[in-house]
Amino acid sequence: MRFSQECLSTELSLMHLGPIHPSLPGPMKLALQVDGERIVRAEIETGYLHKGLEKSYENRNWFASMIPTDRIDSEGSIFAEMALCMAVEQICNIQVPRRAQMIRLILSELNRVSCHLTYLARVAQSVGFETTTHYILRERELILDLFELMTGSRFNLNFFRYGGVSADITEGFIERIFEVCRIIQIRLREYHALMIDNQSFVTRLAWLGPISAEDVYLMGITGPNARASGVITDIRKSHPYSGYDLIDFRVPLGMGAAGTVGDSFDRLKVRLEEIQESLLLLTHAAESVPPGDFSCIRVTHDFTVPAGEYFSRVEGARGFLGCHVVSSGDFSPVRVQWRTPSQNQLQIVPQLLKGVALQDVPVLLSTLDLSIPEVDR
Amino acid sequence: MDLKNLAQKLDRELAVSSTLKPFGRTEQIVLDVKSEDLAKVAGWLRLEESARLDWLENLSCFESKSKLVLSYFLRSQILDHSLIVRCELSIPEGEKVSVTSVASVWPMVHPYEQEISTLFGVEFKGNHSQRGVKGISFAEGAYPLRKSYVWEAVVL
Amino acid sequence: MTHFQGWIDFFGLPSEAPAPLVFFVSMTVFFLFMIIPLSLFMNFLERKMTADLQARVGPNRVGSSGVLQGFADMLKMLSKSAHVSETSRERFWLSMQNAALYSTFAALPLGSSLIFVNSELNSLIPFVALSLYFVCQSLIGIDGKNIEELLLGFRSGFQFVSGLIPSFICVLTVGVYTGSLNWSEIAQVQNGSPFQWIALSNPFGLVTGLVFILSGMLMFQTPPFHQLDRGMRHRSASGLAVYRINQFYATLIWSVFSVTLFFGAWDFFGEDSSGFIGSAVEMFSVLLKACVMMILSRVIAKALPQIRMDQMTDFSWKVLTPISLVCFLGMTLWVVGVGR
Repeated sequence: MRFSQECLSTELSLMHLGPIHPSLPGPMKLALQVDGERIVRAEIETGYLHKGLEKSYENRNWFASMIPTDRIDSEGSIFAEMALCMAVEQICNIQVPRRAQMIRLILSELNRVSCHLTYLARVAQSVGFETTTHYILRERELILDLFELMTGSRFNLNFFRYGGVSADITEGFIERIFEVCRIIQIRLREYHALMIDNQSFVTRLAWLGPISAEDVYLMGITGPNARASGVITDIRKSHPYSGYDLIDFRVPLGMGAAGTVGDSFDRLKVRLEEIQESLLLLTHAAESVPPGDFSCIRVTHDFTVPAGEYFSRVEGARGFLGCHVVSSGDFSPVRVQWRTPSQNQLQIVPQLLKGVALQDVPVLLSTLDLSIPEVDR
Repeated sequence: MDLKNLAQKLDRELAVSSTLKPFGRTEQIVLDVKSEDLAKVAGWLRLEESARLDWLENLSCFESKSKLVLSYFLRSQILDHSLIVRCELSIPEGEKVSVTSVASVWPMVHPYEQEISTLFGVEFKGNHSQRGVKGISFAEGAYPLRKSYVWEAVVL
Repeated sequence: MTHFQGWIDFFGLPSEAPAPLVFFVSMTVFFLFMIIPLSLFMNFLERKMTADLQARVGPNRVGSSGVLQGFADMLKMLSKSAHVSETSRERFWLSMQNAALYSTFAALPLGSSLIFVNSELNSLIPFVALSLYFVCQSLIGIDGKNIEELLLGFRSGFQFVSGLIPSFICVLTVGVYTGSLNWSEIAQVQNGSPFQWIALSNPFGLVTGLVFILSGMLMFQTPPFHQLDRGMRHRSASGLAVYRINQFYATLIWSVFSVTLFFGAWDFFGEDSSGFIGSAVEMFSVLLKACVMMILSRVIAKALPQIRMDQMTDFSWKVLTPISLVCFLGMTLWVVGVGR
């Protein structure tokens, strides 16, 4: 009697996600080798959102260079505008008026709150917590309405100009800031109850994808992800710009509140605390906007930057955003190179995905706050 | 950080000649080295007591006067100072240029080297990092950020 | 008078009508005129209540205040086609699944004279049918085209089994209290006032009831024990519509079982129910309680995130099962010590 040998297949399976998939933070391919439900190996391929932005600067004049700048990260466009303006102003030796600096600070912090709220909504959505997602997006609308009141747009604000901003503070804007800050302060307590004090939510995030301080260094991670791992890094403190040196604020750090230091829960908690700090910053800044000009020069299409270069540093919502501008004195830049936080943060993803359950992939990716437009540019 | 002293020490200990230039119109100084000395200088700057440059903030590349200029923006987390190291590479038409990678000194340089390699055609020798992250790729010999690159519009 | 006399009275069929005919007519009419409209209405109600909870408006376009949204969704679904067609094996398992699920109608306790199978163990019959339902679901996954469908099939199976055990123990607990596993006798014990209901008559009854409801939510993957990606992208429109209605029906029958076991069954303020009107009142009472339970559980679940699969099964094995065993022992001691 012969028996055919039948056995259960125990080979690793290959799963492909993307380039378009609801679990992913943007267009990217994720190839996963899985052993049942656990990931053994992960590989990422990006480039699906490459728009040739850095090349496009070379064909534009300085005035039009603000347009691709906004598209580096549409959610956090203000930070990119700030970085470019700071770099050009340093090369041209332009002194930005104090009033303009305060306006820039206010808009930056509003953008930071907006980005962090979007982050919270995305994390809540990834764990299927729809109610919280809607509540958070409702608050984000208040910020976007503020942007519209001041700049005319909700995203891709295109408001900063070399030497200041494009317009003065709209009537009612400052009062509305106080109101919005007050509302979000109240809502933050609600989010705390829904997320931090919610055991089911905490269980989904605790111990998931911890980033050690060593990994922060090896990968060059900055921003809230680095701070969640206990590493003190904040450009607003180390290289103060645009009035940040005049206002005192705290930089929250991850403490391993549930699970371990640097896990997904810490990354979320740090951002919640940063929203709190940003609201305090906003209130302080809105109270102390000095009178004066909103811009010291009028930038037109024939604006030129003298020969020179500068590397500006800005603390974006996702981390250290740098802009290296090189000018030869011509009408177009020689080079505008962006150092984006997501570029480095993406490097740690394959390592973090090892050993993670498949169901946790969207949760982990959402807690890292990756911006694929920033990576691909 | 006393950069003159640093440059002299570099010359003494590694027999590497370097020049100090201003960074644009700012007060910052750039340490200009030859591309073949880059790896040696990188390792030395990391370990040298007066420098301790352990963090690479950014690696930038641009084309100027038919040369590719690599700028390494470095920072010391221990001594809280910064330095820009620069080297120039001559560009053969349509071919790749090579330079030694500094990934063994500053591991965070990997994504920048990967990107510059694709966009400018610079081969970073010795970068064996297998992080499992692949970026955009273009056709062989196509380096879009070089000034000589011609965009060919295809009308469908 | 037969135990399904109510159905005969409903449709004015002759008393000598054969049981299969009565069953077929009853099931068809119940499905077309009760299940489908109820599923559309409950879906609308859930969406409106959820929207209110989430500070949104919810459906408000189709019909007055969006009442006809369900019909619009149904019409839209019917116009879609699958981009990957089902294999013959998949179709076979799907039809087996539907047969298993709708066979539970035979033992569905909708009223004292509305139960087709009136055996001593008719409260356990649905477990067998539902087990077959989930075996078929797992087999669909195993026969699937890719790793995602395979994992989904396994997950459904594991999740079902983890919910099945504690719920089974809960039914046995009720059997200990009532002295029977027959729907009619269980309902009889709870006749009278709400304090006669098993859930309110003693603490073990209440805890057992909660465990039973949670186990059902686990088994049928209702929020927060749902899968975010239910592998529905490969289904055709009709397949998706059938899947949705099956989900609704499965949740409804589980709510009906919960109501019958723990919340007074078809007892309507102790009123005597006989004849056509009586049967209708009984059915209305059961379905009303079941619908309230379904809506409450869905709305409460909206305040919770999705639970991961291993956390769900952990919750079942480490929390629900031990509690159900404790309640079983507790109920036994209660019956021995205090009496029924």
